[in-house]
Amino acid sequence: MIKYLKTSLHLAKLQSIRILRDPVGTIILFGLPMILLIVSGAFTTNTDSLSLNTALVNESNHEISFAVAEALESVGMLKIIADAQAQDEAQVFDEAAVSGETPAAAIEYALDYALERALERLRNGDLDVVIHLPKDFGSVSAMNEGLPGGNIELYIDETRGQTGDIARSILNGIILELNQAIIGVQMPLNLVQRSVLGDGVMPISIVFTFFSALGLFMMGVFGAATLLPMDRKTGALRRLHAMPLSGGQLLIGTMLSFGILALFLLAVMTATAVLAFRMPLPENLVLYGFFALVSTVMLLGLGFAISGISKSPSQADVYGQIVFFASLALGGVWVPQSFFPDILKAISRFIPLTPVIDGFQNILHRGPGFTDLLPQFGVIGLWILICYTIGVKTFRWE
Amino acid sequence: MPKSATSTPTSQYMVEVHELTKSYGSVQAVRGISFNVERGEIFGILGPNGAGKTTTLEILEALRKSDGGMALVAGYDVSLNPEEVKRSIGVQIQSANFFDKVRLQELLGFALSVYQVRGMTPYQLLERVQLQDKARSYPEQLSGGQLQRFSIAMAIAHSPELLFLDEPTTGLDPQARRNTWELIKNLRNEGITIVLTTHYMDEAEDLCDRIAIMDQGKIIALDTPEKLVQGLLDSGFTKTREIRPATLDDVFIQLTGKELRD
Ligand SMILES: Nc1ncnc2c1ncn2[C@@H]1O[C@H](COP(=O)(O)OP(=O)(O)OP(=O)(O)O)[C@@H](O)[C@H]1O
Ligand SMILES: [Mg+2]
Repeated sequence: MIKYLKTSLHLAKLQSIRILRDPVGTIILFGLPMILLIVSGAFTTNTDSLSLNTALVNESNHEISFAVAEALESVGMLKIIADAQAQDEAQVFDEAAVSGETPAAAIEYALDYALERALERLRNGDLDVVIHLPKDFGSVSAMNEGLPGGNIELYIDETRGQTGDIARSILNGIILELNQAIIGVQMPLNLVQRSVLGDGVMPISIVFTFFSALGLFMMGVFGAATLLPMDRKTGALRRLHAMPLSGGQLLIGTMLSFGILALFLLAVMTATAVLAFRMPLPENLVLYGFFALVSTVMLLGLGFAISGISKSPSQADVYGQIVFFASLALGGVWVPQSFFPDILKAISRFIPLTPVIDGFQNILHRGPGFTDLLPQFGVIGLWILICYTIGVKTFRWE
Repeated sequence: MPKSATSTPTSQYMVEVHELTKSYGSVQAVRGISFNVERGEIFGILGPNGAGKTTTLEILEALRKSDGGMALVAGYDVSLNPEEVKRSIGVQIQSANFFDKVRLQELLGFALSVYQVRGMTPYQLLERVQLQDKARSYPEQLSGGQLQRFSIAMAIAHSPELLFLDEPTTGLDPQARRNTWELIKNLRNEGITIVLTTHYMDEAEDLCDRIAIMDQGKIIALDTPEKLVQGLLDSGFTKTREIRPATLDDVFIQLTGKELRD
């Protein structure tokens, strides 16, 4: 038994050496999850200091427009890098008019031109949003029952993700406050946003959970899935088979090498998230480690099953990609799960990736005990059974 | 090591094959062959492509299951005790790669550990096949001749009593071939029994104590090289071409020298 394991360990060493000496594999299996974590991590921790480059074009001379401008300037998230305001321009032009150089009508032209220029810069990606207060903004009209009214025009570029949503919600907040000030009444209905994950949850732990699960997943469906078919093709497995080495030893050795590398990757990712992005360390480290181990065994098993049913390395690659992208799709990466029909929702709960992400999220956010994770352990256990059964049944040396 | 009652390594022969058969689908690769290999001899299997040489070796190496017949290798029945057979023999496989990106010394280290060999180092094994300066190379960086020598090093890591070599000199230049012959003879002189296949008649003549000629899955002749030739002459055969005291092979060696080139 000890000799059996010793040989498996030695094989695990050889397999690890091979994986690490392959630059392409190393970049994909280790570099990619790390890069994704770092890039997204940098983004999430910056949401507090996230700033949208904003241009404010205020053509109105009504008092309420100054209040809007002031409110906008006080919002940290909007960085007003260009502004053209009628009152400022008026001042400049008034001074000019005194010296008898420019007619005051030029102000209007200059502001029109300011809007044009701002929109051009928005199109170039130089600006994130353009806020325009038209000339009549804030004018008192009978339609408004004698109160100042008007539209704030928000220009956005839809191709640039969520910047439009963020700007809109900021402006909505400003408008709500100003409306209350104008009417002099507190609005009866209000919206307060709360997170189910609890108030202490930082976006980094969500990002971390997702990408670390992805890293383990890739180690299985891209790493473990293709190595054995490749060795079968080159005849390397036949050579091993000529030695007194059992299929079990080959399996243990190979899975062990990927397993150690996967857990090492997870450790590095955890350290990065904690140290660089101030993610709180999971309270229950033992449970975290154990859950990671069981998840890794399952995801590598998935790769093992794929390696068994594939006739060639390229076929294994294709199967791996199908499983990978299907899991991401069902995991709600492209279309949120809330848009799924019920049947898809049910399926998505039982794909291998879901319990891993759920489990990690629970451990990081709620600090659960072992029993709280039983549903996840159940699904993972089922997949371990399925994958290794398929893998063992389809295993061959050549 | 547990030994089953039916097979103890006390057989008179190193290899005993009786009515062995093997088919791949409709292809009958081996059709009921029988032969024995004596302890300490070099036994050659000759035959055209597809004759069934590799298939026969693979059955004896416990890499492949036969359909019928019986084979005792180093005293063990290959179908009953494949594990013991594998421990007793060294195998050099025709056209199979080693793990890539693993150094020769690491691969040999692994072989030594699988067979639980003590008191032997990868370096000593490399020395035996004159590859000591390639210890840190990867197998994919070796020339054809070096690779063949390395596979022999891997095959003898555990000092087996029986060595199977499948076309050990195919694709090698004359120097490398002769060098491999020397290596094989040295191994035989150490008491290792060798079963090899080859397409080269000069090789069979130079190396083998006895030869089996296979064709279409059957052994059609089996004897010492001398007796096979004598038998042919006795049947009234005369060569049409004049026999020269030297061959082109000798010319090549004379011109390019005997040392290894790679
Ligand atoms: N894995 C296999 N699947 C199906 N048929 C096979 C397989 N291996 C060998 N054969 C067939 O069995 C027959 C014998 O093949 P084998 O490899 O034993 O011949 P060989 O004497 O070693 O030939 P060579 O000199 O070319 O190495 C051939 O007809 C071959 O096509
Ligand atoms: Mg062959």
